[in-house]
Amino acid sequence: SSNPPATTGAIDFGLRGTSVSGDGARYERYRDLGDGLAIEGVRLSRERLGWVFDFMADHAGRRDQRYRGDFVNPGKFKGWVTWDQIPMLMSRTTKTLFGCTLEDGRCESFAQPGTLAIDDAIQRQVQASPSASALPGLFETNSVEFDTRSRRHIFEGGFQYLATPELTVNANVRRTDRSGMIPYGGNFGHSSLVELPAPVEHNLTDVNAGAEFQRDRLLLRGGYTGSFFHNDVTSVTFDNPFRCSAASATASCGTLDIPGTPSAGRLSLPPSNSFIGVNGLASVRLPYRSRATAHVSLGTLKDAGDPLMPQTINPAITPGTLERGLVEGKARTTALNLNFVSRPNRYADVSVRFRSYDYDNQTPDFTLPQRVSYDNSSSATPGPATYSSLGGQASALNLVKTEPFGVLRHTFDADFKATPVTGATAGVGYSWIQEERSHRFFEATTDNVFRLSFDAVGNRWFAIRTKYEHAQKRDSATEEELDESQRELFMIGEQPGIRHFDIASRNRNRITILGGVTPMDTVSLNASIAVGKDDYLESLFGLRDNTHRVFSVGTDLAPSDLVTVSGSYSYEKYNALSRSRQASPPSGSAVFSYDTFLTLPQDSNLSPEVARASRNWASDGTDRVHSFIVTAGVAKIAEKVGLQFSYDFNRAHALYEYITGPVVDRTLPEEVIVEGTLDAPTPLPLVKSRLQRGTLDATYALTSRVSLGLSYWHERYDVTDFTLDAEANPNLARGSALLLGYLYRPYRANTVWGRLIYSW
Amino acid sequence: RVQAGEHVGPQAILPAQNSPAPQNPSQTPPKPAPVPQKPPQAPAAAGATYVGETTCLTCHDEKKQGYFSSPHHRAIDPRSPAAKQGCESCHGPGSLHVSDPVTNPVKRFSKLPPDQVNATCTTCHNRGDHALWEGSQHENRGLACTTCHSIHAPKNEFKQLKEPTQIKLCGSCHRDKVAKLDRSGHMPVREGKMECSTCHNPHGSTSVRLLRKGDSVAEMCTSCHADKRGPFLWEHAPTRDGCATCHDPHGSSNERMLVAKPPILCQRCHVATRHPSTIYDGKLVGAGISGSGVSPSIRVFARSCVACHSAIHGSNHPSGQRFIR
Repeated sequence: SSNPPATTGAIDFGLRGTSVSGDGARYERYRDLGDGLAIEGVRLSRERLGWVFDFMADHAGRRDQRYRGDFVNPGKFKGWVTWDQIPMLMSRTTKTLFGCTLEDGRCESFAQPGTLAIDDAIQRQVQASPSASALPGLFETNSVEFDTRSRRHIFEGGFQYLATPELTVNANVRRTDRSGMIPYGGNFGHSSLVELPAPVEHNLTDVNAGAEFQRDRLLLRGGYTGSFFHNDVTSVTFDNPFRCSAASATASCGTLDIPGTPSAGRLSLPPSNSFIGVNGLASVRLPYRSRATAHVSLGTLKDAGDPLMPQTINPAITPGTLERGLVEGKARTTALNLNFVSRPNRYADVSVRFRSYDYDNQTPDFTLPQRVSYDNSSSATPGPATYSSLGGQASALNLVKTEPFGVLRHTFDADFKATPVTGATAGVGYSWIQEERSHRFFEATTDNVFRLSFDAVGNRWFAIRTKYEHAQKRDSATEEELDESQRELFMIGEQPGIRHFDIASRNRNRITILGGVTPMDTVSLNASIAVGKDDYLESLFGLRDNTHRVFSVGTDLAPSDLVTVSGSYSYEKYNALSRSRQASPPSGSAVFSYDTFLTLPQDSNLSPEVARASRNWASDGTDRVHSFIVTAGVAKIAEKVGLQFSYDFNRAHALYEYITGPVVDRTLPEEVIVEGTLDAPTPLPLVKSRLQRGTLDATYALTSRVSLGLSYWHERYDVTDFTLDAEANPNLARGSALLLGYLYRPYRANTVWGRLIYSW
Repeated sequence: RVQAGEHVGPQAILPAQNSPAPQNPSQTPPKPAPVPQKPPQAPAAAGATYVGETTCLTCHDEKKQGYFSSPHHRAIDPRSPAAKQGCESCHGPGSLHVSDPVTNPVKRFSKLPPDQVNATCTTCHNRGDHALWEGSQHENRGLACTTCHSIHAPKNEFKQLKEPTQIKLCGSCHRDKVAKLDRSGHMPVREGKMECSTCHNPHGSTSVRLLRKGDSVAEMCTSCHADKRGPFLWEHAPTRDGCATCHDPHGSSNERMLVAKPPILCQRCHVATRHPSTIYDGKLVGAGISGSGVSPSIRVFARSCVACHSAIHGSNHPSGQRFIR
């Protein structure tokens, strides 16, 4: 019979062993390759009484296991249930002083979620001997190793019911539980850092329901989306390893006090929130091979309404009363899409789209009544907090207040394509993108995008796709608005010439070319080029240009039906130049206004630092990446043996260069060209990473149903990183910093497993 | 063929199954089943009639395996070609072809221009995930359904793909994106816990960049990373409107997939007096310069800026205006 058997299935299982030298956690970051039984896959499919049942399991019993069941009455009903685990193992060698439950000498869990405590004796010792050298010894003696990991458990169930031939109803529920910890930073002062394992105990429940109706030319769709995020732990209180109490080194460490450093601090963690939305779509097929589609969605995003925590847990500080007790976070989203596509004949193709997206942040403004920093100190005099510490004057422009960002974006796209001969299409297109934002220095920008394309496809021997795009983005600020924006920037200590690159005026040029040649059925060659540059032409400070160049070549060979070989090489280069000015703020009586700033000569070294062009510097970042991938497979050797081989190589080098003085040959001439007075920077070390991965998989068919398999993986990862590798962090406790030891480390790993594959 | 580093499991060993399960079920709801209003029928050549798939397979024996193991052959599904005209549902009635194969070829998809290929497939596959194919980016660039899917010789366990994995399939054009999956910071794509279609619907979308969920990049990202969703009391502007301002979702050499390394990344926007505008050069990194008295800066080692500004995506702490609480 040509019909498949009613029940089919397969199981792939065996024994696996892994050896790792170096950072095994990175090797197993999102997977479980531990020793022992490995049930790689189970598949079961059964047809009975008009129903089809499918079951699949991957990595059963492992931390990255996944199960799925489907039950389908074809043409009428489809239901499914899934259970998926995604681990994230960040480190097995992180260490901490925070107390926890020990198991085999390792820290397994922290006593109270949201409270991280250090033994009082350790705090007293550090306080009694506050020299920079004291903490490393105490840390080595008292710290405990633990895994920095988290995992997601994801359950999903859903169905799809074809109520009538025209109407489909579907719904699904998805619940994601995530628990574990991540490295997080706390601090008690401007030069104090305490890394801590922040608890991750939250869940996300998504509910989706919808219906789709189609009859003749019409398609209608409506849907509901509910997304409910709940965080069990929305703050973490952590002890200060450097201090027990100001009262005396023998006092109870529970005492929080000022002046000086408190013995504990409190950080906020992500708040619970929800999103509820509805959407609808209507699409109608029109004459002349045309289609018009409209889609609208409305949503409401809300904070869960938890009360605002106090400004500090330090009872010695009594800041002014907060103006409200809740965040009252709320935003409404509105999205509208109108799309029209027409192909009236084989020569012409028209596509027009209008898209509108509004994120209307309705969270009320909030003005900070008094500054409290680090649970440590408050501003000297109760009163509205300002950014005056950065050099600005105390004024209404300088109040510390929230900025509930919102955005309204309108996009209009129009494209016309002509196909004068079959397979060759030339196109021209234009996009107009207008964005209005709230609480940004430039609240309105307009982007005009022009594009040309030429595609030659549909020919089995040769295909090429090309596209050129030129875009001009400009802010819509008037002179007065610009002056006001720059004044506000100055008041918070920023350079008035800064332009945040997401809203800055920008010219963009991009070209992409993708081609392929298939001279014969067994050989194909392909190549691609993507180059482009963004010029931020009005940005005296901030990102000034951004360039990418990507080249790739590849080939696929199939010398026979049983043998395939493919290889590809790609080279990527990214450049980004940004400009800054190193300066201390004017202080005390030296504070001056923006109007005064405008009168200061930038080419004079007598001007305050914020106004001296000689203190300008730039950072020029260059990323170069080489990637090489080759795969080969032989389906059958002597009718019984199959081989698969693959090798990946990826080498990334990043060079960050600080340049003092003017940079006049890149994108934007200097506003004022003067010699730099900053010391010549010492070059930063190259950031290097290299990943090599090889796999070999062999199978031997004992019978038509039973195969033996042997798999071998080798991975090697090398890394040099001037902030995150072990060389950069020789001591996890140094100075006024205490780290967990989450670092970039190299590894070499080998995994071997023997497998039995049985199918029925 | 197996992409290096991916689990060499049943995907590599087993033939493509007739399972409708998606490769990443936890992330991707199954596509709604297509429900044609009429049985799929290719245009008939003048005078041709249907001869039945048994006749077709008499000569085209090599098509059996791929066809029999595909959903197209699931005859209990009244919507499937097998329940209708079999091979001729897509290739057209074959009586004339049977009588003279050379003079009367049936519809061969490898010879057809993309729009004709697509027109055939979308006769049935015109709902759910496929409903917005017309006018989509891929359709506009002349891709055919058969550019990515193979009906008779799929190499993927699911979705009739022409390559064994989505990484390899999508990487045939989007090579730079796939290369990023091998960087130090990446999402669990190469480990098989996500795939391209977890975030993108290659058949068309109402959002930007063919994103599957939400109406913006931020809405897509926060559909999983809801802890970053807010709205917060204190917000960081780029998190509100563009996660990709700081992160490359396809991967990067930097921790947490940042597009550049802090503090350089943060200094692209923050040039304020004091430490944001300080040069953190080679003197201030690593273990410091021995004997020089120069110590490494606390603002550069470990996680750099975000070591202190931990709540960088937003904070509800009243003292969280600089994201340090």
